[in-house]
Amino acid sequence: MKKLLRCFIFLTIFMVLFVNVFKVLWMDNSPLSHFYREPKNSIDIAYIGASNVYVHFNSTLAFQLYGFSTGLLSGGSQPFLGVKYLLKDAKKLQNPKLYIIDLAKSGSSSFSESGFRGITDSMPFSKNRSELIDEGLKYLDVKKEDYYTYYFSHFIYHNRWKDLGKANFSLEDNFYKGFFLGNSSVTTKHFSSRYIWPSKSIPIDDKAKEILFSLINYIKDNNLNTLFVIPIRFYGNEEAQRINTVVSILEENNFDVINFNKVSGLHINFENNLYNNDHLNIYGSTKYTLYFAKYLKEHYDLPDHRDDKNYAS
Amino acid sequence: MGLISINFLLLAVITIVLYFIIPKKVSWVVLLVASLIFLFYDNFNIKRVLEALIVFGTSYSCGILIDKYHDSKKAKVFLVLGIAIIIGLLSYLKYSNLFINTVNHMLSIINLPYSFKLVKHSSLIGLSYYSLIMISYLVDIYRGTNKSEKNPFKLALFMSYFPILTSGPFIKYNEMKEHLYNGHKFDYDRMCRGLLRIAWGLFKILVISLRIGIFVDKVYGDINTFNGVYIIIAMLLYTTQLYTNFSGSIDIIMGVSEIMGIPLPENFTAPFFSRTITELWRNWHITLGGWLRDYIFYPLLKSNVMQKLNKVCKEKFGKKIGKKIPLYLSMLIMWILIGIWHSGAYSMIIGSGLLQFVYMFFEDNLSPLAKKVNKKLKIDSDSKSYHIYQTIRTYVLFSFSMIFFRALSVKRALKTIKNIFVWNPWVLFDNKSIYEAGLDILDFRVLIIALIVLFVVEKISRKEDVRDKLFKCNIFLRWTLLYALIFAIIIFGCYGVGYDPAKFIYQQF
Repeated sequence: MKKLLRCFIFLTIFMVLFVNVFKVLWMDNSPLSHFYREPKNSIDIAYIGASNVYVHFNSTLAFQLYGFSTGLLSGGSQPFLGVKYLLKDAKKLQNPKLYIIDLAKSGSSSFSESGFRGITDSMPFSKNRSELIDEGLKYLDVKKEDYYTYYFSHFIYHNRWKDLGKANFSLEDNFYKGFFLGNSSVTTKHFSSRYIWPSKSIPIDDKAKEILFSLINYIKDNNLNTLFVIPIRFYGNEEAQRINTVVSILEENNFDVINFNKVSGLHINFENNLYNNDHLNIYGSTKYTLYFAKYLKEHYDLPDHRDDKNYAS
Repeated sequence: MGLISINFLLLAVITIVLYFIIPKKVSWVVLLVASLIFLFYDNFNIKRVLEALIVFGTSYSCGILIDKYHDSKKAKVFLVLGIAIIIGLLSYLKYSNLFINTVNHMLSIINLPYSFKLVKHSSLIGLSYYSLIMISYLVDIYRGTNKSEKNPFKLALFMSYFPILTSGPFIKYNEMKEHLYNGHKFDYDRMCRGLLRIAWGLFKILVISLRIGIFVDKVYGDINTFNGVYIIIAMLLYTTQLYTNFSGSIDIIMGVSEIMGIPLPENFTAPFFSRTITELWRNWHITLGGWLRDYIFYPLLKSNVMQKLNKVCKEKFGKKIGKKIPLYLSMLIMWILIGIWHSGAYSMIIGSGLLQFVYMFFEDNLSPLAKKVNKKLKIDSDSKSYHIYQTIRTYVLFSFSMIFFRALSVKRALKTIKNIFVWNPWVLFDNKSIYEAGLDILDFRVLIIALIVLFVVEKISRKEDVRDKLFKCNIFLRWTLLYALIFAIIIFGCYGVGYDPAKFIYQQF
């Protein structure tokens, strides 16, 4: 019995050390990690998508203005394939009143390994994470013998000991409740006019269709209150035309879609409000947040937590 | 199935758990099933099954027949037959190309326009190990050291006991039967000791061996760019790489076996503290050395041919020199066989065979001269500094021979030696060049610290069991050291994407 107890204590200390060492090695300051740090059932809106989400929507500002809380389930080049699985996690952990899904990456089934790892490495161990990895590995060109590194990302990140710096030993970063403030004040002066959204559509590939319908079915089966959005930015022509096809499918299935590239009330100035082709800067994101937060407050029944002590920071 | 793989981990864990759950009487069956899974996991086809069956069938039937006709001449016939079949199969599968190369070389020397095509054979994992193990089994029955095993399944377990199939050690039937066939109770302390040994093996392989391997592979892969000092460093490091790789895998094997209560013979005892090559080989791959001594060297030395040669030489060259000739001849044959066993390539025969013989020959014959020189120069050969010099000299000589071992062909080994003499010592001092051979400054730092730890542990191990010493420490020191070891492996180990932990140098033999 004494030996068993000693063994248990040894393993417990080991696990505590391991988790903390791993935290330093894989300094998980991704925007998505912020979502998983939120207290259970404290989020009113789950906003899911690629980098446009964490760069465009200032959830703190929205809270200050209207009092609803928004969790940003977002990551750089986040594949659309991950949306269903992030929805599942959002539903399980927060059960929000509204799910907003960014469609920027919905037109194609191809995605990068880093974008995929951005989700899987930030998700806690769960069946849902495993299923996402199983699904994602079908799309990625990864050697079978390296599959295990997706399930146990430690096998990748233990090598980061060479890159450790002061920042890795601190939780401070440029994300505020998942919203990114890094390069936001930079202004790109390359664009003289806004992107003109095409009216044409071109078909999406079968796999992208499969991913989309799988998401639609999940939302319908679980009766989730969902809003789809197309972020304002520049697009490749075919990219936008494929998104048009996605929009048609969604509208056929009675979902609400907002294409912010067609919304005039935003007042985004493409000369001063973008910091690169794909992202708004702080001025643009403030305009976007002001508009979109107001829209959400007006169209959805969202609570005001501003006087709630549990939401004070 | 590599020793550092999820599959091996699963097999070991499941086997250990089942071994202790199942009644002691039949727990050996679990080992047999695990061994067969290990044996055929990567390589299940009729050819491989047939190979194993030939060795097994020969050993089983010849063993019983030798036992039956123990007092008659028939026993010798069955012994010779058994050995001939096993050696024949081993030679056919592993050494055909050595024979063909030799014949082709001879034909080219006498200008005959014929050459034979090389053959492509793949053999079952552990063939070199279990073939020699079964030969020792037959010889020991013939010598009366042990009785034949009547239960074919038990003999199959002895032949294929899974931990030893990749890198040894060589086991003997009479030393193993009690441990293998009588089950053991679970013992917590034994499990801790086994796990510690496994962790130490992982440290040696993942933190040291594979890290050195990055540098060595880069240098040996491009000896024209990485010449001079690079080759000297790679040569010196390769010996440690080989040692940590081989002894590390033995540690894992012995740890797994120890958890189940089945002790295996030690294969290394801090060989690089040896002051002579002879001493080094007493501490390196001990069980192979023991096998060759018991089943090749002494029988050869005591054979009628050698006894006659002894007589003739004594008459011709005098007693002192005459008695040494059959001794050296037996040694030479034994060392050539060690070289052949290490893959059958000429470079191996030179590196791990002939050169070792040459070293020992000169050690034996030059030691009187060295003593005289030391006396004349007033060098105290019992001093610590002289011992250190001898240890370093032995390491360097051994490392030099390992150039042939690593280069994989004589031509390439000679080119490597030639390239040592390129003058470029500045690569050590310009704070840049040395880091171009695969390891950066941080890797070198980790490597140096790990080598210091290895040195300290090996030094202690010469006097006492390091694990005993550790388990005697107070809990704070003990746990701190254990966590340090585990986290050194987890953080600084060379594993994951881009590394090949299954790359066991000795597994190929």
